[in-house]
Amino acid sequence: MGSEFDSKFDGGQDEGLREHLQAFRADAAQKAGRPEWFWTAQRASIRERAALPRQARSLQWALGSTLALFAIGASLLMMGPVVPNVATPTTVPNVQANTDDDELMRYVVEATSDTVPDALAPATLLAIEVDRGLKSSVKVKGESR
Amino acid sequence: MVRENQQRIYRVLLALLRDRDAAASLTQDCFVRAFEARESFRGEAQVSTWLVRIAVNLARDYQRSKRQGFWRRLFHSPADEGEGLDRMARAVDPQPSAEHVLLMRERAEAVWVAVEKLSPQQREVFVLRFADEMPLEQIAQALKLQVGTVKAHLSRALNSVRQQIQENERG
Repeated sequence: MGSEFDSKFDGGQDEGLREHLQAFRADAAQKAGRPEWFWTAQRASIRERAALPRQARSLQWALGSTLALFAIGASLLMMGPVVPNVATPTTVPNVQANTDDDELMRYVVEATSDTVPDALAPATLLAIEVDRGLKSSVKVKGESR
Repeated sequence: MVRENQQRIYRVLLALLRDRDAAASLTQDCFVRAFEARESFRGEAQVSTWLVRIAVNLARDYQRSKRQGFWRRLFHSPADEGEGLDRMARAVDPQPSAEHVLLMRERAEAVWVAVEKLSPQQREVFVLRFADEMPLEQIAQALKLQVGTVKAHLSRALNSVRQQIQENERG
């Protein structure tokens, strides 16, 4: 294995150590033994990688990253309808209550553009009804005078 | 170049990393890197030595990324254990006794365990010397060290391995 110069670095006179080192060497070589198809496939893979210029490999990586980002964006868009809709404040048109029909129309608009949570809807409805009742009674009293 | 050196590079990487997949992957990386850096090769060393240098650097990077625990985990890989040694014993003696196979296995295993405890640089020198049978001058070139430094590392590594083996035999 080595020259005489190297012999003291191969276990020297220590027979036991030399035997151990021989076993180690043989074991390392045997474990590295692979079938011929392995080496052939590895050579093909190296050839393929080497044939691809570095810039092309960088471009390939960049393209891959862009595609991945696009895929994430697309999936987020598709998930859009699943995400609970956040209520955006809607402007209620200012309807002048000249007649009862106009007033009713205003209630309808208010009710449909309501941002009150569902759980509080009955209470809101009740408040609107009470408010409406009070207004109509004031109106009747005014007319009777 | 690949055909002539791939088995050697794989053997060095496998001995350094004790991981077949990593060794196979880094062998590929080694040749691709060599191909990319072929213009920087000035023929100061043999191509094979230059390749070993690239392989050792790749192994260092890999181990750095994997941190500790790597050797410990892989040292007890049952898939690798024994298989090579059985074949090795048969290569020496076509009809080896079970006792002989066991003895070879124990000896090699004792060295692997001792190698695990070496410093990274001692381990590299030891593996290149005893798994790859590289002359000291080439080891020095591959690791960018002085020959005297390689000798010092190897001497310490051998002492450490010897001690470990003796302790193992006593225990």
